[in-house]
Amino acid sequence: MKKTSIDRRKFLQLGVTGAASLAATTAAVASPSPLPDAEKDKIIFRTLGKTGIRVPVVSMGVMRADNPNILKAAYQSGITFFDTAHGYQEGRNEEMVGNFFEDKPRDSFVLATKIHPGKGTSKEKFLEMLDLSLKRLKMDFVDILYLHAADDSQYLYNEDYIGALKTAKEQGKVKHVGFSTHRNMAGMINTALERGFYEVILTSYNFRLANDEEMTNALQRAHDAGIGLVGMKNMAGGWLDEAKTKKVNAKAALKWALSNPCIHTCIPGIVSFEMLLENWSVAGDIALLPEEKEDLQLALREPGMFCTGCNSCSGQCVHGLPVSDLMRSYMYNYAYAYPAKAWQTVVETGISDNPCGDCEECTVTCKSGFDVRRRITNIARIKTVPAEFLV
Amino acid sequence: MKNPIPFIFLLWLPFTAGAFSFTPPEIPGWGQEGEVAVFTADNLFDHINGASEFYFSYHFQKLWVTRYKKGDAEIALEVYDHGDPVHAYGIYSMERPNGANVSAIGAQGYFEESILNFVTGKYYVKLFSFREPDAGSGVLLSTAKSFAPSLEEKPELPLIVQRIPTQNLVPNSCQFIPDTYMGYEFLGSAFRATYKTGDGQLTLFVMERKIPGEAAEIIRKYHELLKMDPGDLKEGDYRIEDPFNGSIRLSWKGNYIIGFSGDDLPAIRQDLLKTITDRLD
Repeated sequence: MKKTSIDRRKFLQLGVTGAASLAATTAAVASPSPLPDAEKDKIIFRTLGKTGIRVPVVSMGVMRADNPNILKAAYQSGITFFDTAHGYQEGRNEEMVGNFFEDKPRDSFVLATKIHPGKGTSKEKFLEMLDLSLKRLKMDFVDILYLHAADDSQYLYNEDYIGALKTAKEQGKVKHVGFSTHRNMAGMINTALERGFYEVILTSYNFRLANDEEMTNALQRAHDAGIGLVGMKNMAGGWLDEAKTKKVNAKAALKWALSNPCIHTCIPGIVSFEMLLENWSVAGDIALLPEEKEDLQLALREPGMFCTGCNSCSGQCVHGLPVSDLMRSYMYNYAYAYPAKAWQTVVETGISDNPCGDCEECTVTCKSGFDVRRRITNIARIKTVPAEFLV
Repeated sequence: MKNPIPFIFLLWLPFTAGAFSFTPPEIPGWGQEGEVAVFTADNLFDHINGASEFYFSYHFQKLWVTRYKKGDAEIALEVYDHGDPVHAYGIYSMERPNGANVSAIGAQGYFEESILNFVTGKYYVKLFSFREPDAGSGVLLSTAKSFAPSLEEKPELPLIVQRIPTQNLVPNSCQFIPDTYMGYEFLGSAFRATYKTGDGQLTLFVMERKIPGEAAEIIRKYHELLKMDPGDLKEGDYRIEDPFNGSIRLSWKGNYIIGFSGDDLPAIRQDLLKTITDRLD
């Protein structure tokens, strides 16, 4: 297969002739012919730990099932690793992926999917869900099967899930097993290292974790242990403010994630051709430009609304206020529009109506840059609102 | 403070603005388990993981989850508020299986053995059961039918969906895409439907733009993307050779762009164009 290296500038300069040429190329059916050496050298490849799977550093999160042409363009561009999930669009996402890859050589792509076993899911039920995924995907096996959204250590030790994953491997339906995580990531990675069973970890990883030593160390240990590490949510939500007026520099954010050699590939969610071009351009060049570094520094200075739950504020307040709980309450009210929950949280803390009144200066330093005193003062007022007025 | 009432009013007003009281239905023979769980855009991920991104693209506002028990059998009721009927229909249509046997549950719905999904007004409702035999046609259907009117008294499908021609229409292919139609941000949203005959298959799409000049802007940008000269931009027919999406036919009239992609089937295309244009007038 001759894969086209699609350069964004070239794409935007397309004339009718160029478009026709590109159309002819993208219409070509894939074959396992290797890329020309010159093009291949431009793309940075990394290996997913001991799995031995070698992929470009930029892969694709298949986010939507409405346009298989995006998938086609990504495949034709040179992306080889695609990520979907059993629960995306009630199965329509896996079906689209299956329809696209049905006539493609199986060794020309790497496919990962995820299954989230609900409460009480037995090993048998888990394997049924896997069989359904394989049927939708029209594949005999997936390269990687993740436990979806693991945020609790017990989840990774669940013997029914582990038993199902082992059986799936024995049956040849899964080549490698892993889990995805977007909360308490460092903790989950360390748990995986203890357990010693998981081969690939898909984890949230972005520039907002630049100062998170625990996460940096966990990734290093996992990498050294031969675990494949895939990064997601590299854009940290895509916006710097709640009003969504300040966009994250997506290319810089992706480069930042890949600047860590422990991250073997990233799976940005690609929903447009422009996003494809922008993300894929990083596959051959992950060096951050000075202006891109500056953009990320500016991004880090935006505090946002969301308490990360790091608990670094614990013990800093001279009056012993439960700062983390109160920041959570602030989120419930102002970010989640859930004042009833905010009221409940504040009442449970037992704080006074003006808890910061005695302090001239706040002794709490928040790692996310929150003005802790202002937020506590504001949210404490909710105690005075009759509960029946809140929802 | 002489008169605290105005002050207290101002104090609690921000906390209550836009409040909507959700009351879960009672299901005869079943007991509600715990409180109703509420999710917003900032914690929907905790409930449905990465699938939440897709819901955000459909203007997800809020989700109420109610659980019921009867012995060891369970039911979960999820009510998603998507802000308006078009986006609620959109997410419903994108998750609806190709082979769904749809019926008049709310504006439209379908069920299988242990699930039932329907759309009504601005709500997308999903019911799941566990360890309850024939739940779909049984308790889930009865619950949906009794509960739906409380969400929307007069449910109807979006107007464009109602006007989509039905001859040769592939069942369950009528969908709403909220943005980035065909992979281009400038195209925005569109309704689409697929038609199939012995000669081939094509997709009809309909874009409605209420802001003057928006439709013209789409046509212009599409030409600019491919360095094509749109000529004197005016209402009428256009043909775009799109390197990613193939040959695209556009027909611009007023606030609407009617488009076609897929196989070149002139007779079917002309017939569909006339029918949909007449119905939209």
